[in-house]
Amino acid sequence: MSNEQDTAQELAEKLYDDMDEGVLDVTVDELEAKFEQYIEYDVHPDSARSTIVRNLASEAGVEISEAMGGSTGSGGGSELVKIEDIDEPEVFVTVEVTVHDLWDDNDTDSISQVGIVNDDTGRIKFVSWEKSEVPILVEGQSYKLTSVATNEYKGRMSISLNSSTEVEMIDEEFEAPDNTKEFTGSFVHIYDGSGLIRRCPNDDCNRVLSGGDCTEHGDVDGVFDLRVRGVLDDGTDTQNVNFGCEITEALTGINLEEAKSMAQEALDTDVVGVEIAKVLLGNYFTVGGWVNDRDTLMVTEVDESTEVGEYSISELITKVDALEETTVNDESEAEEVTN
Amino acid sequence: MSQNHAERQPAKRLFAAELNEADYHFKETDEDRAPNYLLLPSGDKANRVMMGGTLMSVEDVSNEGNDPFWKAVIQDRTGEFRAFAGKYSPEAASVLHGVKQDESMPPAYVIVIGKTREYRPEDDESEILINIQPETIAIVSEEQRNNFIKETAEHTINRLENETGEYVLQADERHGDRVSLLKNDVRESLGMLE
Repeated sequence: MSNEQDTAQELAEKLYDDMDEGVLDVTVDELEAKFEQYIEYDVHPDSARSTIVRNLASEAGVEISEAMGGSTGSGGGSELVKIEDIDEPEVFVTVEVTVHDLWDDNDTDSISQVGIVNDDTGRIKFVSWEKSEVPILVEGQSYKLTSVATNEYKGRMSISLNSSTEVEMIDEEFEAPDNTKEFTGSFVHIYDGSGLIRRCPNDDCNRVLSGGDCTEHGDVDGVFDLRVRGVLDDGTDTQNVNFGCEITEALTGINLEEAKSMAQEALDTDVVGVEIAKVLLGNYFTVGGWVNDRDTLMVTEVDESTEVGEYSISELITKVDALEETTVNDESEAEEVTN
Repeated sequence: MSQNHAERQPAKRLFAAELNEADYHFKETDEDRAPNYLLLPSGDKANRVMMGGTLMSVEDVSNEGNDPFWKAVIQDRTGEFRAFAGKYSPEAASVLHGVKQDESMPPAYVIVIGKTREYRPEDDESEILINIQPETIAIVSEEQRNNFIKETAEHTINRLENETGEYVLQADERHGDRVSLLKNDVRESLGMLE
């Protein structure tokens, strides 16, 4: 490790300063003891800090954002940032955004609104908590959101509006950056969870079931679907791709009904994935679509007739014939490789 | 990019002649999980390779009573290489198992994607041989095989045309003139497609 780690005492003092007074019932000494415990178990100070805050907030029955108030640790108001620069969880930032999309979320009582906002650098999920009593955001409208809390879940950032957030309408309209992409390469890998899958039947849920269960709705009667998650590789870069049912059917020649009877016959849904892997692996094509927030290309178009490479065979022969064999001379020997 | 979503390393396209000339693996950092690279004689590094050709034979070389350990011999115009797949390469192993049960194969056209491994033959410990631990073996059509040859020729030419960089210097130093090493192999492979 390059920079020397802060001591438990320093970490505790910093956290204590950053917390809102009177929300969490804890002393600096208690914080220091908690930090010491985590550090002893080789927990990184940043995750120790977020775990301590999360546990305290949950004990006290408050949102993290409430406990951490509007303070940023530097003492002042939260900094105006661009969405693409949001990469640290549990800090307070100010953003200027347009509401891109609002999701229906009838299931969770504690959430008043959830959706996607964007500025001209990116998109990010936002959540408003019911008890924070923040104003309702309107799709297409732009706002300056002062002091929103950042969160991270499985590597994805989101922001939450909390009781200390100020919401102010602004006129500027932000256009989200283009997230469409094309990629050409060979299909080199297929991920588990490809082939015949079942999804949660609840409206707007659509989650892929695991062992017959939806992580949100528990034991449900799944709806069959076909999809492929895999990797395209052009020798220089790799791209995670997702094919939905239609694209999967078109590329593999296996439709959903056939997939279901294959699975029935084998008494196993995995056979479909195996069959799809056989058809797709080693194939070369160009795909187009949009990139989601996990950098996966959600494919909407496929060109299977893509010519491989940039040059024709005769051009390649010309190029290879033009390669000159060199004899090692003194000059190149002088340039020694430094290790 | 967050750390836990480390980018997948691309597969470098190689002919057998280049794999058989290679003999040096290295890491770029001391970290435990730092990727292992093969120095390519054409002047590049490869953590993962993609190779294609004709599957010549498949054989279970495990000791009796153990899980099968498949040895596949694959040939392209420039030479021959081996891929070994056991329980740690389940997908590739199941493809080779399937081939073993199919009387029409081998021969078959295949494309192999995987990591490189080095070993020293028992009778000559000074020699280092490189083989493939496949993640994927795909049985492909003649057209796919031809596409792969073309792509591999193009990528190899690109590497040979590149005259600067750390791996070019290292390859020159270790393997001698890169062009004379591989030019004829690339030319002959392209000749098959004319």
